[in-house]
Amino acid sequence: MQFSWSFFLFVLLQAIFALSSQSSKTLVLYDQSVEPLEDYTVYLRDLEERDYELEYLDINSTSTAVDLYDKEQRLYDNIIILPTKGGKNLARHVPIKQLIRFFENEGNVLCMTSPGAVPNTIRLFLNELGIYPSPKGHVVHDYFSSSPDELVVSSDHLLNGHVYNGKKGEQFVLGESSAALLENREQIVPILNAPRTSFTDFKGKGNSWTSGTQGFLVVGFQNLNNARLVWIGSNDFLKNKNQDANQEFAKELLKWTFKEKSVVKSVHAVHSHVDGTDYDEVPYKVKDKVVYSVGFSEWNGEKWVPHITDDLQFELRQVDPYYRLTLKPSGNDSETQYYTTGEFILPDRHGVFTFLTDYRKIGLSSTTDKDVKAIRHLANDEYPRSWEISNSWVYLSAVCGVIVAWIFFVVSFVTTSSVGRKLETFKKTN
Amino acid sequence: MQFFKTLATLVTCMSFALAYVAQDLHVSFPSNKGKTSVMIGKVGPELGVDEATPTLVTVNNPNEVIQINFAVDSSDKPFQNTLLVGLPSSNLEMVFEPEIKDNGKLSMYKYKIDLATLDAALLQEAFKILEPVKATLILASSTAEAKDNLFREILQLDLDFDVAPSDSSLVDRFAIKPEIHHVFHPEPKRVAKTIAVIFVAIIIVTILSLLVTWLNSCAAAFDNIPAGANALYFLGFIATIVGFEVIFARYYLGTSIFETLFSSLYLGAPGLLASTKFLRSFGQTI
Repeated sequence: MQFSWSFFLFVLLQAIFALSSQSSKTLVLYDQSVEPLEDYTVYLRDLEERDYELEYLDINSTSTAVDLYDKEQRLYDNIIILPTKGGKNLARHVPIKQLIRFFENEGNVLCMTSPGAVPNTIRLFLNELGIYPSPKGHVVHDYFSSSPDELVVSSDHLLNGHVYNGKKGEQFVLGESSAALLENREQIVPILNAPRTSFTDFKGKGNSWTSGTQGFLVVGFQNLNNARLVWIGSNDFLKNKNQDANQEFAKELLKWTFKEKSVVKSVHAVHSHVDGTDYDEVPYKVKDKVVYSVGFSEWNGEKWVPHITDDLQFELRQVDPYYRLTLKPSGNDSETQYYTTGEFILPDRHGVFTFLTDYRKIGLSSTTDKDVKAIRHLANDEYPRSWEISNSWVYLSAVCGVIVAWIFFVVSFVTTSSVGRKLETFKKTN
Repeated sequence: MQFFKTLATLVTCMSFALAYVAQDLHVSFPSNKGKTSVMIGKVGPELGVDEATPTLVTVNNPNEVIQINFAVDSSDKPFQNTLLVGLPSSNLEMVFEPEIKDNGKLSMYKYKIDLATLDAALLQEAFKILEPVKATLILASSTAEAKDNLFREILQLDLDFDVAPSDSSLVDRFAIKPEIHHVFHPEPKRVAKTIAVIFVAIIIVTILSLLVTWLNSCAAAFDNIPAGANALYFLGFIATIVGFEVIFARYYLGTSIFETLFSSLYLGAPGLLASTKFLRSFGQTI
């Protein structure tokens, strides 16, 4: 009976962990006076259908700050910030420091601004991450667009397949949009850039904030804790009225933001001697032949599936890498693809080494596996003996010869008598 | 019929007049006095991007300054007048703004591309994918129709110089890194086995020669072999010498120092006794 209960608990926990690869409790901040919440119901309802627990807050309805934490406990997993005017209101509800802390503690953020509503809290927060949205009033124009009144961007401008793989010829309606400049940071995930012929302009005054493809309309950011942020420069992108054009992309974008997709984990990272003996049984010494293997799985929104890639690398480090090897597939099961280095020889240098797999790809969650182990030097009886070295054969044979000659000399000396033996003398007769 | 033909011609002429046209477009090299300018001529949207082949200019100086000049009708100046320089296929393009001078009915536009100021990531990528850097001219306004706006690739720069490797993390970030394989210390050099064997043979021959010489010269006659009790002591004496040699050899082959000391002790005591006895009693006859 006890077994069946523990088994039931185990299965339940497995199910919970499997389902909760994405977080679910979500705070939606909106400004009813700027953009009515009703304009976004398609995607919000979609989130609710996917078991997201949405909590709505109109920033004009209350003047007190929103509690994102109960002591050290984060109360929400995600925050959605719809376009708001009046930066002071938003700053009062969610001060920038609290937003940064939330993001640092693995909370995901989806924020939208529009050319007419770029609150300072959001701007400063994005600036901290290296994303610089165009100032208030700057609008993206494209005089070569077939629809001059609104910005329409084709799927050719999608930049990351892990976020969304658009179909050929797909068009996204962004309406009136801002564009951002980006810093050259590894954590930034450019998602959708502006057309080559576009530029941002402030009321025809000509001081452009971005030009061509260097302006970004949708940008992601994934921090070192794998928390994700997405900024959308257009308030029209997620609106119900544009769902025909944008629905697929928007849904996948939300899934990516809230870690329902493109989440990778590494499992069963092991290393051992080539014959399978592990480190605990026989610690490594210099020049031992070893093998390293690791498995990778990817969350596809429903279950873990094998993550197949050809750019996975292993490093053996002691401050600097002594080895960097591209891993090769070695087998798989229903959830995991396994990779191996194949056989390699440990360096001829003893010390403490790290067996490391640090997998980082733009758009995928990062995963690091490391194991620190000591590699010992050779013991004094593990070096080659002198007779194995050809140089020593001369000395060894000389020593043996001297020993044989010495014993012969002693035996002959004591057994050969000189008593009574006279030397024959010859007289010179001439 | 004639009326409609005339009307159609008139409409075509009007639309041509409304389209943005860069007149007398030419490329010069102010930093290189010896290099002649390249004349491209009139560039308008009506030619179509695919039909015209952009002019290819080879540049072999990383500090070259390339100047693009043209004239536009002053009465209809474009609001957007940018020159994109870079690699469109890699989404790496820099934007250049013109210097505009009004000169009567024409406005003179001048773009200066200083290659030394081009982004390192752009140059690195150009050398990596072996593509020329492209210059694309945009002349457009919101008042004009989309088809009348000018968007033409006018120039290709074939960079014929080496680019020093520098930080191109924009291009390479998170890319697969080159493999590293540890380079082991070389094995110590050893003499060829044949040579070693020759020397061993020489040593053996030398020792044998020594022994044969002793035998032939009667230095080793073995004519005084002990008998009786002395024979026993003699064997003990010889066994002691041979035994110590064996102990030494075993120590060399890996026996511990403690075992070696014990063995020496066990052999030393009786060996000393036997040898003393032998040498005292038999020494007179040697």
